[in-house]
Amino acid sequence: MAEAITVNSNKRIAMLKVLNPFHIWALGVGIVLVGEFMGWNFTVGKGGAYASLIACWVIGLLYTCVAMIDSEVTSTVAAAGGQYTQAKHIIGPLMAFNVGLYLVMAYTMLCAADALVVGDLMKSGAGVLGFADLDTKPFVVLTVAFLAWLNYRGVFATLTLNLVITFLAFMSLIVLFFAVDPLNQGAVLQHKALLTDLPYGWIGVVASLQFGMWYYLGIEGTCQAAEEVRSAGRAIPIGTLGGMMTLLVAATITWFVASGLMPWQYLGQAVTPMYDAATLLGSSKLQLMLFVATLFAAVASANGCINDASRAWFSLARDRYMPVFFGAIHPRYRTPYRSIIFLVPIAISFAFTGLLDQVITFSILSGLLGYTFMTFNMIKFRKKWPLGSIHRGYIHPFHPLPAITLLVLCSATYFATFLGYGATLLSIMAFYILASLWFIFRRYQFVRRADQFTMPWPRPRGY
Amino acid sequence: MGFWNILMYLAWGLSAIMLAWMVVDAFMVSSQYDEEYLMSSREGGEDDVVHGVHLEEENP
Repeated sequence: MAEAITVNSNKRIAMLKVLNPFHIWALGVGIVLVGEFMGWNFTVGKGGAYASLIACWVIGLLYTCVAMIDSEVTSTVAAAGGQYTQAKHIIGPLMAFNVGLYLVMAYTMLCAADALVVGDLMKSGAGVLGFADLDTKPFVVLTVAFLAWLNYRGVFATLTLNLVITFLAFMSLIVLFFAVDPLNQGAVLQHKALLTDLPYGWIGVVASLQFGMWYYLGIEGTCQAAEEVRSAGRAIPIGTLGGMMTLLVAATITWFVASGLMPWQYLGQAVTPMYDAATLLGSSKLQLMLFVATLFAAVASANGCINDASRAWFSLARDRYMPVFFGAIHPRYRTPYRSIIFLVPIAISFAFTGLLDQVITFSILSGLLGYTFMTFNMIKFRKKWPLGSIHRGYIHPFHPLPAITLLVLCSATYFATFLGYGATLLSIMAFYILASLWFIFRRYQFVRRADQFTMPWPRPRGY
Repeated sequence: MGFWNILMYLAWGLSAIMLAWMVVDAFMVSSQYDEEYLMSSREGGEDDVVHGVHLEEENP
């Protein structure tokens, strides 16, 4: 047996700092963009086409607040784990544990949902080509296995792939927008005929907020790459805020095109609305383009989710909130390789349940809990470390207005979720309460309390 | 056996190869490197001193 290589005891292993703002953009937009190709349209089913547009912009405001807050805090807390690390430094271990768990659950489940989408797309493609009985399972497993393998072998290639396929998927939406002759109302688009009043009134608008999150869910994942960017103070704010602007454009285009082509009764329950839009235009080239773009968007999302879930799990393990075994970094590829491997069977198991709705709802609610935490986090961050006390790569304007707006919009979205998925919401809350009890009474004894705070920060004001 | 059946077997095969490759590589790394070194990273990495520097310390 070969003797273990012991590197100079003073030398620490670290993840590679190789990413730039474009990679951050690709990570954030890549996770989200699949939501423009499918899922967002359930807002239409909840409250009609106008409700969907209101949800698109109201939830857009929610995520703009998230992006601004994240950009400021992460440009200072430049560590893997993102919001988990922020919570640990700013609020405390219990909140950090919960936020870390939200992140792992949200991204792992989203990855499972994306893999399911890839499998379903393969089945649809085979069906069109005359093979109706394609088994989706091998393609679900291949998606997760290939992306995990790519993540295992290095972050640069992983996010460069995301950059290419996310950009192509986004461009397909732009092409579709110009294909419907947007300036010539009535030629292709039929908004005047198709846009009706709110079919379920304003309660339908509130109910649509939950699915409005599909337009943007995951943009906050940019923070997970903070330890691997060349300059966190520059790359995270540019990549995150640039990604948010891209998504606002993509979401609005998506709504505009689809609502001008399909009645709300159909659009509200369509599985692949943008592919359907291309089909209605009667162009086989557009159909093929949208099919490939949907596939790319799903793969980019799964790829980003594996990246983010593994960093969150790795960070929890590095601080001993989870078994420290998962806190290892690969000496050659400089990735959290044990965390990546560990999450593969979990993602595949979720995907094999086939419960896309439940998996996505769990993911959305975990994300929402994370956004709620950010409001308190931001207020405490500015109070403990006021402007001028530490370097910030980005300072978000109008504080505390974004934090308060975020809290109000999160509350409205909880209510919307309660209307549609009350039992799921309560069971998820119960899950996190039980996990918290386990952490307090069982796990926290293993945490080396001083070791978890290694950032070179000054003592907070008032302590 | 048709094209789609071959594609399904190919997908299973490629998945198995990639998953096995990762597991084998992880075992090899564990056997070749000291555990303490593999888990020696600290948050923020090498140049984290750039971020979070206390301004009052920097400019007394």
